[in-house]
Amino acid sequence: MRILAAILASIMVLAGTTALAHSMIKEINISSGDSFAVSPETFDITFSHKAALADIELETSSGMAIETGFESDDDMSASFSVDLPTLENGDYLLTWKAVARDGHIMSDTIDFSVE
Amino acid sequence: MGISCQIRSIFLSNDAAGVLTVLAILIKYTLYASALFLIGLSLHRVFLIENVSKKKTDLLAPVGGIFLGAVVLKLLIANAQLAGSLSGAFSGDTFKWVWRPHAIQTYLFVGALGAVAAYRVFNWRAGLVIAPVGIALGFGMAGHIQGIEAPAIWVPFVAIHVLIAGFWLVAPLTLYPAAALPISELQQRTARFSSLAIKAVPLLFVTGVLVLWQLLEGLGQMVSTPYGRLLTFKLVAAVVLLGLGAINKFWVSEQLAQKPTSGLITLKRTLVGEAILFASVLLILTLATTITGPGHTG
Repeated sequence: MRILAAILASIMVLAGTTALAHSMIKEINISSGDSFAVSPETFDITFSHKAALADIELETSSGMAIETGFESDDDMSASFSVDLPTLENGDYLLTWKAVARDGHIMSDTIDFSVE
Repeated sequence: MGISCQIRSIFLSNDAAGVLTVLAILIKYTLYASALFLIGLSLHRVFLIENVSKKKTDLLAPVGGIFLGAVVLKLLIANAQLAGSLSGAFSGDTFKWVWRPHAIQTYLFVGALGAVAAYRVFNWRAGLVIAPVGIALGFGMAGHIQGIEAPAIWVPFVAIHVLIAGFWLVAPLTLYPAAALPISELQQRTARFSSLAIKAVPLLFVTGVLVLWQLLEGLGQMVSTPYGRLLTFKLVAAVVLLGLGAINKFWVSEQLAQKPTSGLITLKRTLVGEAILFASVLLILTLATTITGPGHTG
């Protein structure tokens, strides 16, 4: 009973703690199917919690890799903005990979076009 | 997408991500089961529920081996998932990202295995306490709880929850009335287990509900999100398990004393029922932590 009482007391203390677990994408500026009139200058992604952006790969629809100059940073952050090169008109695939603080692995491949 | 559709699509998918997810589910299930067995087997020895000296086989070593394999494979499959293909499991470029959130957990798991080995080789009994505590703390040092604000506060809650779960999960094995086990010893074991379980199981529920409350954004998510629904199923299964435990404690123990033959049959049935429910709870937990997570709304 004493242990239970201690736990209940802890609940009272911790009741104010905010909690939102498991990182998810909160905002992203390029989504699958998007069509841009002007080449997007950056790829911006915001997670609900801190995560590490491990890799960004950009390629044309024919599979030709395009250098983004992205270098992974060891620090975890909730928001990332990666400079993109000026893209000519065409279809592109952008693949990003991230690891959340809880070890959850997130990745996606986005197909978009510049027209 | 509903949970059942999500599971069906994963198992029917033949792309790399689908295959990796299926492997991740299998490996995580093995990891959870072996970790909890290792905790339970150790604690049952500490509390003298299992008389090891009379056993011909010792499950600690094989279970420890399976656990070690699952720990390594879990890291490799996470690396493959990040790299995007099974061949990426050994990719050094991506491994540093996988290692970082899992480092402390892995050290604790390996330390726990070292403690088990020290017990097996040198009969170092402290290893039987260090191992379960190390594994339980390890579960608090990675996973969903590390995604919340101020996760350190909640690590002991997760650890206590995991310790008691392991203690409970192994009961159908150590209390099973094997042919070689005298009825007097079986009665002694069940009485000892019951006296400890009656104190520990309420703590299991309290810590479980508290951690769940931290992971979800509100109790409404227990039914409105796939993650919440899976954890609600887990809670319901745990309540049924509690009911079976109560039957054992208040009815089967009595029957064992009064009518040993029919008591043994009933005990076997309830223990098999418990084992099936435990296996289901582990599957639910595996799915909840692999294909979904807190914050997933669809």
